[in-house]
Amino acid sequence: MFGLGDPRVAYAHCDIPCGIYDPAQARIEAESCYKIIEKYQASTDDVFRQRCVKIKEERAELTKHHLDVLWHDYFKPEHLEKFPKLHDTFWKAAKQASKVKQTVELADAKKLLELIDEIDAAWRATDGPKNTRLAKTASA
Amino acid sequence: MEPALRHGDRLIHAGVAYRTGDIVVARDPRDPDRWVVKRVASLDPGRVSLASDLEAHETLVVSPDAIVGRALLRYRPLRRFALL
Repeated sequence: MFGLGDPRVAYAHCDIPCGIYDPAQARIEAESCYKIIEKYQASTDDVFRQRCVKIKEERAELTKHHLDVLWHDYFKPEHLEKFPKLHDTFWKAAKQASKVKQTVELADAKKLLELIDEIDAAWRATDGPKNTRLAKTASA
Repeated sequence: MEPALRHGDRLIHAGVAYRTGDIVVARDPRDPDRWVVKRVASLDPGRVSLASDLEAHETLVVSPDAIVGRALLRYRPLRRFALL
């Protein structure tokens, strides 16, 4: 007997998660967006401003990527029990990264940094620094 | 899985018998909520080796219980409609 179930995605490639996660990756890209917007606003050079927009869009896209990796690969259902608003925060952060991609408003970039900091707090509270980063080697 | 499967292809699968060389859908043993689609490379008691048609991708060994079904038909895009 045959029945039709809901369509599902099946992946042809096996992911090999490296297990290294840190919201700092997303924050650095978001900080770049913030500083680029500052430079954009301080400049009257059209060519420079065009370059600023291009680079900012790339950085904002990278921010979204790093947020997605954290969301999908690091955080687990048990973390969600501890931080029930986590999905909402990630959703807002991804939306905010899209907004930063579209606009040149410092307030938008600042809001993105704040949302990433909320995610960072959850990562720290779930022992992320101990479990998903390597300890620094002692300098010679 | 190219050229047999490309990203975004739509398939129909069913829980029917499979053998070496068939394309199957299986639960990823590291994340049972994730499904993978691969070709059966070998069958041994209690274990099924699944490989990609592209050598660059790793082989996955799963329990027979993890096999969801055999891919029977590729129905989208329509120009690539084919029995598998």
